[in-house]
Amino acid sequence: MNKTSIFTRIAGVLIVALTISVAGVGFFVVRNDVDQMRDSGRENILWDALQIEIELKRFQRELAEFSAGNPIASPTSVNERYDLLWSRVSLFRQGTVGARLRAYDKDGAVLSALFSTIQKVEKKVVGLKPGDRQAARNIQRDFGPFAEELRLLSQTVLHGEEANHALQRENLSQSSNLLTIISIIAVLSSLLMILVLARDSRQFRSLAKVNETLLRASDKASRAKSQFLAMMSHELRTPMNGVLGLLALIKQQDLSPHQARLLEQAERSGQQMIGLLADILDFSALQEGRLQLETKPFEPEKLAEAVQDMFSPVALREGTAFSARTDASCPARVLGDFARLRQALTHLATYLLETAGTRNISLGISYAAGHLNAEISFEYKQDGGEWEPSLILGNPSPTSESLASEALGPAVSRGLIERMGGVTKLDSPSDDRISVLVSVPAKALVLDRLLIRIACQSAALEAICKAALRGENVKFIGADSNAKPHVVMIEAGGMQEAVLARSFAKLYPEAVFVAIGRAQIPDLFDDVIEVPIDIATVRGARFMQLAVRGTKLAENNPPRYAGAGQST
Amino acid sequence: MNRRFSALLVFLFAAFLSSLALAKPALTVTDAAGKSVRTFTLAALRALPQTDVRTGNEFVDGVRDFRGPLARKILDLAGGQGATMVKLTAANDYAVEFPVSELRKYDAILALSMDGTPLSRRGKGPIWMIYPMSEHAELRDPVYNSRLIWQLVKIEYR
Repeated sequence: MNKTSIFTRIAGVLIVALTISVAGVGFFVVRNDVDQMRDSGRENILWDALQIEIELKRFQRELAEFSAGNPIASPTSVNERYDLLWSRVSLFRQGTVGARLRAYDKDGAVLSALFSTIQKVEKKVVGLKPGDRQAARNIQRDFGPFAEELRLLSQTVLHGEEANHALQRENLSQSSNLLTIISIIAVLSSLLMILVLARDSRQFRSLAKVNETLLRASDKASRAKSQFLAMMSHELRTPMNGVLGLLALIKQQDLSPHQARLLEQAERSGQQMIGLLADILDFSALQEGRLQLETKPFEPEKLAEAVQDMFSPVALREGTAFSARTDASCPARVLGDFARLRQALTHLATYLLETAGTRNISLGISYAAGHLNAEISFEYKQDGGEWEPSLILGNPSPTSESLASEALGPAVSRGLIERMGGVTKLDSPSDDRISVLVSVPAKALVLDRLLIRIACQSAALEAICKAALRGENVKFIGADSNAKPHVVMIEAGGMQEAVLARSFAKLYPEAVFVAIGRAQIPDLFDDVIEVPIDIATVRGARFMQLAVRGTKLAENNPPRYAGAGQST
Repeated sequence: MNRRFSALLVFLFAAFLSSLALAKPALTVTDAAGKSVRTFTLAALRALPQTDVRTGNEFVDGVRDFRGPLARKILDLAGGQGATMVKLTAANDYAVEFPVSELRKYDAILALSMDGTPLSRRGKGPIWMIYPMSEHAELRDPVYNSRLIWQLVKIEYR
């Protein structure tokens, strides 16, 4: 983290803290004012003070009417007014309203004295008799001084409440000013933050531009390196092919055993160099992202056979055993790049055998959860050869080993597997064996119905074939059908064999070609049905499994590599 | 002996006055035309289902227990089910008018007692309109303060 970044962060935190503090202060000040307003505004105590004054006047009027002999006034009406006055005056004795009234009536000079007088005359009022005018006058006289005092109290309450309201207005005005200041501070803080962010953003933009330039330069250099590698590899391969051609010509001469052995060694070295150059070309294409994969249907069994064919001579030369097999979970055909997968597996096996010095290598191919899984298992002892797992798994440290020529094969293999969307892991099934697990996505081709096209000159042979192959999952199509057959069966051995096989191969490049009878050119066919036709053999033929084997088996098996070994 | 006799007479007189007070109409309910449709004595009000409201207000210290019939119940008994406005008047002619919907919304009562003691005329009685202010914060407002009318004697609805 550079100094600018630290400064920006500190400034940001301070600005946010400042804004929050200011907003908090504002909130509490305003809330305090609002609380004060609410408290003072709940009950209008001027009204309460006036009510006491009014009730006293009403009581006195009632007494005056009674003492004047007015028939509408009676001891009962006087008592009713007396009770109402009692009720009003007792208001000051409790509650917040009472407390506020008491605050204006200093030392209880008016209200306490009035209440004492009310209590003092209670017997007289209650015992008032009709026509007892003098008693009424006496009572009226007792309350005489309170009229003026209550008026003055009402005035005090009025002015006091006015002063309170004025104070609240002043507080509110100050709060309003404070809020304005807070808003200005908040706006200024925000502007400051925007400026700081803008400054940072400008720095980051400039940094990004520099990075982009560096990236372009790096890409350019990498591309130039790859192009140089590709060009050099190509240029080297051409004369090397010439050398190998000449060696092949020399081999045809009569040579002594010593010369033949030397020649064989020279030829093997040349082949190795051709292989290395091909790997360099592939590595270069992988680095540049130029390498294109070809997705076509292929049979996993043929993949195992192909790796076996390519690798067995190497294993034999190294004096160890090699076996390749597929298990029952494999569908008959999957979609993928057969050639590149074979290349990746062969490179891995070659590295493990030739460089790592492992023994008893085996290849097992299985299928699970939409992935074709290849397990290269080998015997490994600490005192055997040395191998670098990171060369297989990826992210090798740039040491002399990772840059050695032996690293090229694993690097190409790793690149191809990653390009296919696959992964490579390690597992250790037993103490002395290690497994390299390769898993690549490969869609299983499972057919609901197998479409078969039969090209026979003999109608009888065609009828026998159809009778042998007939089943719920099989449909025969003729030349008039637009559907593409999955299997093309051609009568072999005749003049038309090669012509038909080649023309059908152009029409249906993804179909399985089956020769009926012994083929003159076996390479044109994937499978053979012997003549005379044996129904049981034909129904069990590999091409017939295309319609029945596949993902149903795979779905019942959990992924082979889930949670096992190291991850790449 | 004479003293005891006098005390007995005073007690009997007080009981007589008290029974007179209970028998005297304490609350009158009138309709929109001003016609008295129902009167209630204190005994009649006490005979109605009573509701307890524990609340404080600005005229008492702390929180107190008030008890009395629901104001809306009185209105309904007097045929004021469809009324929209109501006017309450106190013995000193103080009056306040407000929508009946408030009485439907809140459990306002015509309190006849506070902390188990009947409200006296020299206090806020015998009938004091009480809102459950402690339970509903929105009622702690001057508007509802003015409706805590005491010495209630008349209800008019329209």
